[in-house]
Amino acid sequence: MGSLAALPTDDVMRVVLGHGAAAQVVGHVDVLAQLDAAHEAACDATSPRLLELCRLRIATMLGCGAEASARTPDSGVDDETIAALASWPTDPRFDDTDRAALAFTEHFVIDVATLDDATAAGLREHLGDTGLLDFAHALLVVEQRIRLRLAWDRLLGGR
Amino acid sequence: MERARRIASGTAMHPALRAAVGGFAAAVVRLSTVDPITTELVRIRCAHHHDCGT
Repeated sequence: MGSLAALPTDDVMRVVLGHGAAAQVVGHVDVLAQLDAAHEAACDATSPRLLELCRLRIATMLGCGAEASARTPDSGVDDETIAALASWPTDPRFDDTDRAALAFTEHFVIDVATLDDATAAGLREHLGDTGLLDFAHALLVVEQRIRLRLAWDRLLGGR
Repeated sequence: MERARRIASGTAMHPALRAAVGGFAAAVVRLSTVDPITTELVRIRCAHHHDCGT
């Protein structure tokens, strides 16, 4: 199968689930279609800027270089902002909504079971109830894609 | 652990996102290359790890 490390995550998904022998395994193509649908819905349901910032933060936290270097077209996030992402608590490029979303994201990735009331309320204040619900699910989809991609990198020949 | 509700009761999720997240979970469970007992053990282990009582 060769190294997957240099491929974009969408391509990794197709190599593992949708091509050749992999596609013959009952259910693989179904999983790929659902993964694609979930990712598309996650992007539709949330702010492109917030989801891009949080995707990049997750990629950095989990050590996924391919995702960290990938860019989502038309997200509205510029390179200077991405370069400053680790400094989100204090950098002026990030507004209060960004900060609330990134705080939620970091806690979500580190230990979702201990996500506290203040962090959830802080984001709900900016997004509302529906926005918070959709954001949490979109974050789940983005995190799953990155973790899945990392697992496949390790298992199937990437770095 | 009992927790206070963080999102108002009756809040509806984006329909396409709800369908897609559910569809992905269902497609994974339908895979036949991992036996059902192992699949269930993994699911329960993940639920314990994340302290998810549901």
